[in-house]
Order: sequence, then structure tokens, then C-alpha cells
Amino acid sequence: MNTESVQEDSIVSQEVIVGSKAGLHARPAAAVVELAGRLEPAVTLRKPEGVAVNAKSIVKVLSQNFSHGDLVVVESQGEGAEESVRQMVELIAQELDSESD
Amino acid sequence: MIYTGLGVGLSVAVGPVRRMAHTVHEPDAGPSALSREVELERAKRALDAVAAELEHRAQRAGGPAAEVLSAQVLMVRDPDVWDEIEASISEGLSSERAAFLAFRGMAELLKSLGGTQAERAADLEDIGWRTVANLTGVPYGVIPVADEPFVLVADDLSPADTAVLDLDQVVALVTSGGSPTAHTAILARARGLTAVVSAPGVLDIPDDTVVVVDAAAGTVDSEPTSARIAEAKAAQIAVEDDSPASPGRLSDGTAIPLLANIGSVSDAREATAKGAEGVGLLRTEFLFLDAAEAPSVETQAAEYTEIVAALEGRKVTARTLDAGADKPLAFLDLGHEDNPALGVRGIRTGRKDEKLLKDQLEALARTQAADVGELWVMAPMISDAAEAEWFVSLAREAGLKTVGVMIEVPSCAVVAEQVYEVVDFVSIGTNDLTQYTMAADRQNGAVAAYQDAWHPAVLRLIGMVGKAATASKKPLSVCGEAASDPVLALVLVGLGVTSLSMTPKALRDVRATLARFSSDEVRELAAAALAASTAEGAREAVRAALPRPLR
Repeated sequence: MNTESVQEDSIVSQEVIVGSKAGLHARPAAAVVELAGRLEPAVTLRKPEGVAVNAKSIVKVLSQNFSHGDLVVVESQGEGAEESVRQMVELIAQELDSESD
Repeated sequence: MIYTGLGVGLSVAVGPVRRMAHTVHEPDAGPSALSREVELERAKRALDAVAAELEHRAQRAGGPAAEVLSAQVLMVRDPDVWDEIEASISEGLSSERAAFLAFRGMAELLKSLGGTQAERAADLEDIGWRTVANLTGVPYGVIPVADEPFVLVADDLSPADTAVLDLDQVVALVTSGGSPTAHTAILARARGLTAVVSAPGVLDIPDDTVVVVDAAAGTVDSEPTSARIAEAKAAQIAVEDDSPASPGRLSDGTAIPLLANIGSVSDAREATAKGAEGVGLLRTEFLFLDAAEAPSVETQAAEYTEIVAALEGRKVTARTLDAGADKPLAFLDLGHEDNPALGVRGIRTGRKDEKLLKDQLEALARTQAADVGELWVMAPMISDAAEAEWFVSLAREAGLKTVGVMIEVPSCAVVAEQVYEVVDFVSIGTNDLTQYTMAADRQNGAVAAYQDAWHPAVLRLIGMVGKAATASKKPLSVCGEAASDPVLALVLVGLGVTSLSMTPKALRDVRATLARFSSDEVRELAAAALAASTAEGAREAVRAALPRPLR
């Protein structure tokens, strides 16, 4: 326990626009949750005026009702937070619904 | 007693009722007698078991069902759900109660949002009940087993249930919930099951009661007379026996060949197994879409020949490459288009790169020369008679004998009699014809409601092509999804269509339905549909005009 170094890690925060036509539902939501499960430190998602939710929770991600073109604020805190946020932002910006035929 | 709901299809079935067992009850709210650690361990184990079961079913199911099931697995593993379960257990509740509350709470959260989220709420509730059932050791959603085939009666079927449904055991599906467009109904249609959905009260029918399920009437009769049972059994056997063998025809003997839409050799085998009388649409894109460069004439000829040979002498109608800005090819740069549905696609690709088209026609001509079966060739997306004539002359130069075009563009339907002067046959692609008639992009969910081939405007255009076909005495096929809807198929034949091509799975229902009506009757049904002013109105008018004794 190195409690002495509870240096106030500043929150890393970045905004991204949802790239999936279908929004973050079904397949795209599952992709977000799967990536979130591998990220350390963990990331949260929220709408610009909203409350942050755990990106590892499929129910919470669905509950945000992120639609195509919506702004999502991705946040993380701690060592490696930049990298976690970067990976999640990159994913959300993509079209995650591969079925386009 | 007669229960009324919404029928899927037109078939009738008879059998004893087996209700889906849902013996799980809401867990007791009182404090747990077990320690916190024990309850946490029990909850963890139950969730693991539920996740494993759903994963197992996902593997067996494949396709869209697997996707829904995989999403459910994520819900079982949801860390925020676990936090709630843990908190409830720490307050002294049993793991059953904790799991029940956590999943119900999450379901309520999604329900309050409406739309797609509300549908996922049902999945969460399903998981909650599964978990409680696992913890209390009672069956949940168990498809009953019986020595004889039965009528499955349920509230509604979850994706997990439908994925493992053994159809050899189920003769009909009856649900008190659900709707004709919902999951259960779609599954029933895809598998050719007799089904009545949204029939309140059916869960009161005791097990073993012999019922007659009539999809055409949308009824479930729980006290059928012996005459009614005999009649239903006869109809059921007739449908089953009819399956692979007999050719498509109306009740007066008019032949309506029933063909299959295919895109590979394995499709060809399925088509013959399901009793297709030939192939009304061979999609040739499979050779091109993933290719880095255009396949050679030799490669193409070998592939086409293998497919034609697999049909064992039945006619095969090959469509030339239907690619373009909407389905791009690696080796053909058409540039970016703002509106690909109205751009260079279908035959327009061939006009832009004539060598590509000529090579394909050459390959098809070699297949014809191999003499392993009858080959017809048609081009997609033809706009008028002049374009049809251009294609026909290219195909004839290559040596092809029977050459036709697809009518998918409204302009081509309007001048159908000119088109028939230069071609041997026509096939209507109803999906694109609907998209272009209604000016609604098929890929755009926001205008999906316009994409309905029942719309009288679409049917009137098909009627114009039908008249031209009748006058020229040349064949007219339909190879869109419309042909696989048994009732719409009746209307199409009434409009002058002489053969129908569809997914092999739909052949049985369409065959059985056509056999019940005469030429005069289908013409009357078509007239009823044309007189309507909306797609919904056309559907209702035809349903109402169906001569009553369907069986």
C-alpha cells in the first residue's frame, strides 16, 4: 500500500463522435464492453452533460442510448489513462456494425 | 373453446398441447439463513452456469440467434449487475433474491428508455429468471419432451429457447404474447412452422389437450370436433407429403414452376433437396466480390458448370454480375458516389467495363456448350428496351440461346411491352423495384416502412409487366423476397407472373398455398390488392377476399 503517493491523478478526458450508424447498441455496444474489459485503468463513458458510467457494463452502456453522431466523453484516471482513453476513442469513432450488405 | 390470435402463414396443424415449463417463482424477500460468503459463492456459481449454458446455445444456434445470445452472456457477466447482487447479499438477502432484484432493476432501467433498449430489457428479465431457477433447482424455459409431436404453447419464446427448438417434435407454435413481426413469428416462418402468436389465454389450455392450430384463420381450437381433427390431419399430411416432390401448380392445374434463389454449389444442393424445379436466380457475385482481380473466363466457366450440373438437368437462370458503387469490387474503381443506389450498378457496371461483361458471357457460353443442363442468362438493372436490346445482342454474340433481363427499375416496367419484343424472358426483382418506386433507400432504416412490395403502386407496375408477358406469351418470373410470402405469391400469379423464385426454405409453404386456388381466384385476389391505397390495405383486402375454405 503506497498510500503516500495518492497524487491527485488528473482525469484524462476526450470527446468522440459515435461512428456506428446503428449507435452504440447491439454489436457496437458489445464491442465497446469487450474492449473496456481489457483496459487498465478502466474507462467511463458519459454524455457531455451526463453522469459517467462504467464502460465494462453492457447494461449501463445501453442505458446511455448513444446514437450515431452523438458526442461521447471518454474518461480515465491513473497511470496509462491516456492510452486507455485513446483506444476507446479510436473504437467508438469507427463503424462497428460490420453487417452492411 | 376457440382462442384468437395472429396467424403466421396459412397452414393448419393438430396435436396435443405441451406448455413450456416456467415453474420458477419470485424468491422470498426474507433474510438469508446462510452466511454472506456462502451466498456470494452460490450467486457466482449460478451466474457462471447461466453464462456457460447461453454460450453453449449460442454455439449451437449460429447466425443472428447466436448474436443475441452472446449479448446475453455479456449481461450475465456485467460487473455493475454483480455490484448490485453483492450489495444486496451484504444486506442479508439470499442470492436468489439478490439476483432477482439486480436483473429486474436493470431491466426497468432499460424499459424506461423505450425502443431497442426496451427489447433488451426482456433479455435481462430472462437472465434473472434463469439465474433464480438455477439457484432454486427448478426448470426454466425447458422445451418439453414427448413421445409424439406436440403443439408448443408458451408466453413468448426467448432467443435462447428458439435456438434449441427441435422441430421434429414441434408441429405448431402458439404464444400468448409476441407479434407477427417479432422474433418468434420470423423464426416460425423461416422454419415453415404453423404458428399463431399473440393469442391471449392459450396458457390456460392444459397439457395433452388436442388442439387444432389454424394459421390462416389465426385460431387455436381447444375443443375440436373429431371431424375437424380429421380434416386438419389430412391437410397437415397433404402439406408434408407434397413437400419435395410435386411441381408448383394452381388448383386448376396451371403450372407455376417454383424455383430457388442460389449463390453457390451448396445452395444448389439445398434447392434440389427442398424440391425446387430449377433456379430462378443464380447470383454470380460470389466469384467477384472478394477477388483481387477479375476471375478468368476458365475459372468462371468451371464454377458455373459445377452449379448447373448440380441441378441435374433443371433450368438455371444466371444473373450477370450485379456489382457497382453499392457493392464495390476491388478491381474496378468506380470512384465515390454520393448516391450509389442511383449510380453505376447492375448492368451499368458492364456498360462501363464491357470486357468484364463480355468475359462473363463467354464463360456462361462455355457452360452452355458443356451441355450439363439448361442455362438461361439475364442482366440486372435494365432501364429500357434499348438497354435490353444492347445486352441481348452481346449475349447472342457470345452464343447464348435464352437471354432475358431483370425488371427492377420502374422505367423498364412502364415500357415492358417494348422490352418483351427484344428478350426471351423477364424476371422482376421486387426488392429493388420497391426501393425505386417508393424512392426509399433499402439501406436506410429511417425509411424502412416504404420498403413494402405489397404497396399497390409496386403491384400495379408488376401488373403492367404481367400484361406484357401474357400478350407476348413469354415467361415472367419474380425473384425478390415477395415471391416467398405465400399470400403475396398468389397476388403475383394473379398479376400474370408465370414462375416464382425464392429462398428454398419458403418453397413448401408457397407450393401448398398455390395448390389451393384457381387462376380465376388468384386474379380476383390481385384485383383486390390493386384497388387498395396502401400496402397495409392491400394485405387486408386480400386476406378478406381469400375464399373461406382454405383447407
